[in-house]
Amino acid sequence: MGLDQGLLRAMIEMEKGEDEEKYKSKAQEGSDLMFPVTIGGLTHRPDINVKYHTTIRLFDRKDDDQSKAHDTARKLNLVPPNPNETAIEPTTLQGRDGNTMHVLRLHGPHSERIKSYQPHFKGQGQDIPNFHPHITVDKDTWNKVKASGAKTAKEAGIEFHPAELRHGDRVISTYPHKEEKSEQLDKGFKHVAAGLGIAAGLAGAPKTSEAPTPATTRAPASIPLSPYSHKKMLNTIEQIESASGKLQHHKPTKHGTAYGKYGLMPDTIKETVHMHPDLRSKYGKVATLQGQDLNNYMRDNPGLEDVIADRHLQRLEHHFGQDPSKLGYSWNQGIRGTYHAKPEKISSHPYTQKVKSFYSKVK
Amino acid sequence: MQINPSEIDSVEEAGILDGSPVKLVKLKGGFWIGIGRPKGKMREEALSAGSHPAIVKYNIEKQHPNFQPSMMKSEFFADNTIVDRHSHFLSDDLRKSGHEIYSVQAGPKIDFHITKYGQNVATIESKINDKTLEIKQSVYPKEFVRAISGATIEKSASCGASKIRLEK
Repeated sequence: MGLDQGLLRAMIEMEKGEDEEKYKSKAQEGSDLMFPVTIGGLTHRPDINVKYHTTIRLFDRKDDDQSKAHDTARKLNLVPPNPNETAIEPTTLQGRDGNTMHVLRLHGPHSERIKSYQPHFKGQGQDIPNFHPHITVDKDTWNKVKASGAKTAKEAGIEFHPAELRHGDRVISTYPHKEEKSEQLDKGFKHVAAGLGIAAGLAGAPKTSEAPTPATTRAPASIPLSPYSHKKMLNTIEQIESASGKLQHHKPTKHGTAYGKYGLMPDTIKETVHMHPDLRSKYGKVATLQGQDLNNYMRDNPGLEDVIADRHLQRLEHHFGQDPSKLGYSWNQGIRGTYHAKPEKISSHPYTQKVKSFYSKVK
Repeated sequence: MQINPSEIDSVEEAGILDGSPVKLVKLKGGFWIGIGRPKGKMREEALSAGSHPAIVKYNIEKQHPNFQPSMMKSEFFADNTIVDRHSHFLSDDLRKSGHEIYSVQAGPKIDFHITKYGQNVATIESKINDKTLEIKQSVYPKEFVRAISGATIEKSASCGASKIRLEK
């Protein structure tokens, strides 16, 4: 059985609350099959910039075969928990030394189903005794959820996304799921909900496709949305790259000459079109074009650069969250370059400095 | 644009744009004009014009996404015609002076049209034969050699031809 001792040790340290940065770096050494989570629109913990998630199974880099894990995962229908039907319990896990980790423990049939995936991975990854699905959160978020009195993930602004097999920040594979009727899990959820004291709100709600009514008249959880704005980030890049479209003559580089108001490099254009079937079917020609021919083609298809810039930024957000500095750096230095860069290099890079400066000013 | 009735050779229904009919008018000189009334306009206007009806129709479709083409009677407008634009291979100077390159495919026959403001400059005929694009020797200005090369390669790739042969 492949136990990732480093990761396990890191988890214990996390539970102790001793060194979250160390946990972060250790966690990035292993692989994790998870449901990515957003809380109030945020994808990453603001304190240590680790992706919010619910772990399905942890794997060890050295002892586990990623392809085997992928093979098992793709055979399962990994359905993300329905936030309406997932009860949450803000609680703390006590580390061995009595230190505290802040978690939102998940209850209900969706949580049980995550547990039920475990036997399928027998012989792969970590067998954690008394494994209980949860989302580890920063203390501020935990306090807000607790103060809001949210009983379900929905009330706390939590969304679950399709399962991913990740190695650190890198997505190895994603697992689309087959849709299912929520009624299948309805009964189980009501049972758990009753146990958590929200039965009153559900009593008159036999249709589980509707959000369960809160038990009290309290206001829904008020977790503030992230100040990050995708549009604002695009405008920032446009401002830096071309003074909002005014200066579109880019200097040639060894990777080619950038195009347009966002300074899109030829490889970025080709990769982005290639990665999206809708773009590939319509603009597949770009794969064979280069230099001035590619620029002419972009010019002949007005609006295409906006679509490509939008999709490329979405891709970067998927990798690096909603941190404008990292997004700016990765726009300039590429995804691989950003993964290899040290945080201090990212923050001190002139492009990052420009992003920081412009992001707060642009609309 | 003023067109006298005496200059018109034929008129054909081409489709509907924003609830109004679009007509393709063929002039006696061989020029084609697509006429319709876009949304918000009080009068009919020329939507596109050129020396080949399929290219005129293609440009109307590109410029007016709401255009709904109808089944055409004329063989020129056969709906199985595939038009593709290859003007990105032209130099900046040629693009600025109104030149375009299109390929018009009807079955195995593919013609490459070089135009200037819609007027035909040269046509290069070719056909697909057993995964080979066979190009008939044609005369056209030498400044288009590079662009025609790009266009034929691009078209070959899009229709699955693995070879290009220049017929003697």
